[in-house]
Amino acid sequence: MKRKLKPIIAIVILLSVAGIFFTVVAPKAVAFVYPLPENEVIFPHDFHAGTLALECQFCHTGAEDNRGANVPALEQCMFCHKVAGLENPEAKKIRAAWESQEPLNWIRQHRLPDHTHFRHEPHITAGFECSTCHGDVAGMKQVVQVKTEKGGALKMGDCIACHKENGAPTQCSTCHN
Amino acid sequence: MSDVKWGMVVDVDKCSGCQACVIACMAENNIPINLDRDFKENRSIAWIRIERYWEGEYPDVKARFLPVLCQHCGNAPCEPVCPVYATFHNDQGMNIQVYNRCVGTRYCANNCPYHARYFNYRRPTWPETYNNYLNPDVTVRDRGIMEKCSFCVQRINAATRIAKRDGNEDAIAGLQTACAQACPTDALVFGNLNNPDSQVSQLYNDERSYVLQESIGTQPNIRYLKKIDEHAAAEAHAH
Repeated sequence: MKRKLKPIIAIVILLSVAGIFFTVVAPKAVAFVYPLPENEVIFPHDFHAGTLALECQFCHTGAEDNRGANVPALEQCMFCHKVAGLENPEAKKIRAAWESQEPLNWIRQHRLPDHTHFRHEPHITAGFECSTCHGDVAGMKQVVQVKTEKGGALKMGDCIACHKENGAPTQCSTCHN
Repeated sequence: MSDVKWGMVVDVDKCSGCQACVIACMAENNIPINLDRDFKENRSIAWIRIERYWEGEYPDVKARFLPVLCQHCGNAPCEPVCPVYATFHNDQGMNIQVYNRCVGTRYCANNCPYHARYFNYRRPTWPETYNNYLNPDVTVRDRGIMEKCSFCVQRINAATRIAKRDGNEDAIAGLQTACAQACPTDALVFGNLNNPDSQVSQLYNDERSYVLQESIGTQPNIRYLKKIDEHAAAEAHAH
């Protein structure tokens, strides 16, 4: 009897360990955040967009009339940081980069494949909020792609669903050409 | 916008065979540079090409030029043979090629009576400095993808968007494809066929107009205007 029980107990222990691993440890390990590169400045979106309540387009100037919303140039940072946050260690890095004229290495979190031609301008003109696709950036310290209802990052299905809902064109050549 | 039907008229009499349209198309649509071996293997890519025909005996020889591009057929032979619906007809009379659907069976090119479809047998490369000259509105097609004239769909999309934003149709009225824009003799005329006042729709119904390989019944959106032959006219007068 004992001999038969031993392998069963072993399997149960193994399964529970695996269960704990896949439910607790693994999701954190594969969360949708890219590793930060060296010399990266930690840019707290939650402070700028949340606490200070800056408009998204104050820094992402391209969103209103361009293809990309664009990652702001250092000049845009210096608009405030010449005088603001003088003691902040991260803001010091920005000023150092400005003085040495070395561009900062920002990492894009939202990137589309080459065959997809998304433009911000018509979406902003149509009156959509940035948070419709980008989620509550004002509450994120490090920006990550929001997870959709299906649990993944933004996919073509999400674009199509919204286009259908709002009577926007859905033929392939609208985005793929 | 659904009342629009894009079409083109090619005046063969005006075409001097200068190939400006070919170059303009290549620049607009990120077409890779054709090398020696591409021509030798018959794998060169040019969405619009000038076919040259010699007519008559020496010394009385004439060169005839015929620009051939995708005819955007109303009854397109390429469409039903695609197993993945990578090519389809849209509501503006255009034949659309969807690169990200294409799996490269090449059935469509084999079924095209105009040889207007081109397959990427190689990954396209440009000299490195040229990468900055690529058109960001057009996808660079990778190896294994079929491509063809798109009627500069990126320009149509841009004009439609601008017209919608500004609330007037000016951007759409002034719309031209790259080849028509580059043509020095205005042999290529592009426009809305559903607008009876447009130049293209008037030329479309000209008595000189004809269709390439009409017997196949492809019903193209591109019509050609016949060459005016001075000798034939003179002979007719003599009789």
